[in-house]
Amino acid sequence: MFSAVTRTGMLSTSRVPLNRALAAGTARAFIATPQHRRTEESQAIIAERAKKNRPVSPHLSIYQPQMSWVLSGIHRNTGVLVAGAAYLYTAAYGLAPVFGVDLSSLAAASTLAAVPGPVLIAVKALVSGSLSFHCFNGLRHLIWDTGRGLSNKGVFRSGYVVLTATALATGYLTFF
Amino acid sequence: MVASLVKLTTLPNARRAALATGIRFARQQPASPLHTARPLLFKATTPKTLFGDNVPNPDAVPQQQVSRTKGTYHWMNERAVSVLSVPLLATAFIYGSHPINDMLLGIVLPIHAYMGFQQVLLDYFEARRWPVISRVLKYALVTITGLSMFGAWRINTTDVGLTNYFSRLWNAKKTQAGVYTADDE
Repeated sequence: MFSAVTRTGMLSTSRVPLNRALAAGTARAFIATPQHRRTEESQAIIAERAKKNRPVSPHLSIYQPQMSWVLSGIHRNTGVLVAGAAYLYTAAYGLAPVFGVDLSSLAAASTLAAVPGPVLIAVKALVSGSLSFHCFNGLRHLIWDTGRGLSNKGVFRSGYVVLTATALATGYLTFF
Repeated sequence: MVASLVKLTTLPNARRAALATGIRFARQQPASPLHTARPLLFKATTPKTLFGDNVPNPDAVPQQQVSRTKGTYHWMNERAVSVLSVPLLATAFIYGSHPINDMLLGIVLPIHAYMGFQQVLLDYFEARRWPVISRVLKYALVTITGLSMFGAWRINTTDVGLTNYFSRLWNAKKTQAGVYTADDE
């Protein structure tokens, strides 16, 4: 790999002293210094850098998207979204008096009432969709944890049930 | 050279030691330079060769105390918190606000979120690869969970309670503190 890098056009004509090359912090500058090529030290440094930039194995994107694993991923994402938002908001409420901010229900509601309707609807759809999906799919996971419904057919059937229930709940919570 | 020396000197010893304790070999492997790591050497470590006839009773050996928050216990704890949150959320959404339910929501849901975020951190900020960041995030998670519980407690004690609070935010366009306005469609 080292020789490949030096052979494929990385070689520069500049003679950069070793300490300045290291201070610059670029592997390229270091490799480009011919008099320091292939020393044990340089190999160790390059190996150390290579270790930090190792490629990630191909994972999710190489699989056909299927309900079984896609819903599982969405479950985590929706949980992180709702829990993260709730975390931030309730923590902010706890800290509000320290910063002299009024987050009481009346003040917060009147602030929200001034937000443009479409924006509010979009936020409500996102939050209620995430929360209801996480709740329904969470029930599905709890059923799985008892060993039920783990067949391929069962997984897909319950998946469609969860998606339908999520759509209904999201529509209801957002618009009614 | 060294390997063959080891083979010559130790194998008969191991064989003799094993034979003395009653272990029988299936068949002696043919001598080969590629097979110097003899399984024979490892076979000798059985309770009988270690302890002779006085093999200790396993029940008498003190067992390592298993933590009630780790391993399968941790998995069961997660399920328990999830199962607990089901009736709490159902009550909040179907029945409505209730002070006890609000208090429990403010405790159970942060714990549920905490356990969920723990799994996320374990997956994406593995301690060997991110020694500093994983540690920082671990403590940040504890901190924000505590703050969140505190905020929920304050909403429950100084405001209208969690269910009513988020209900008011949710219906901010429709109602202003319970009074319907002209904006209501």
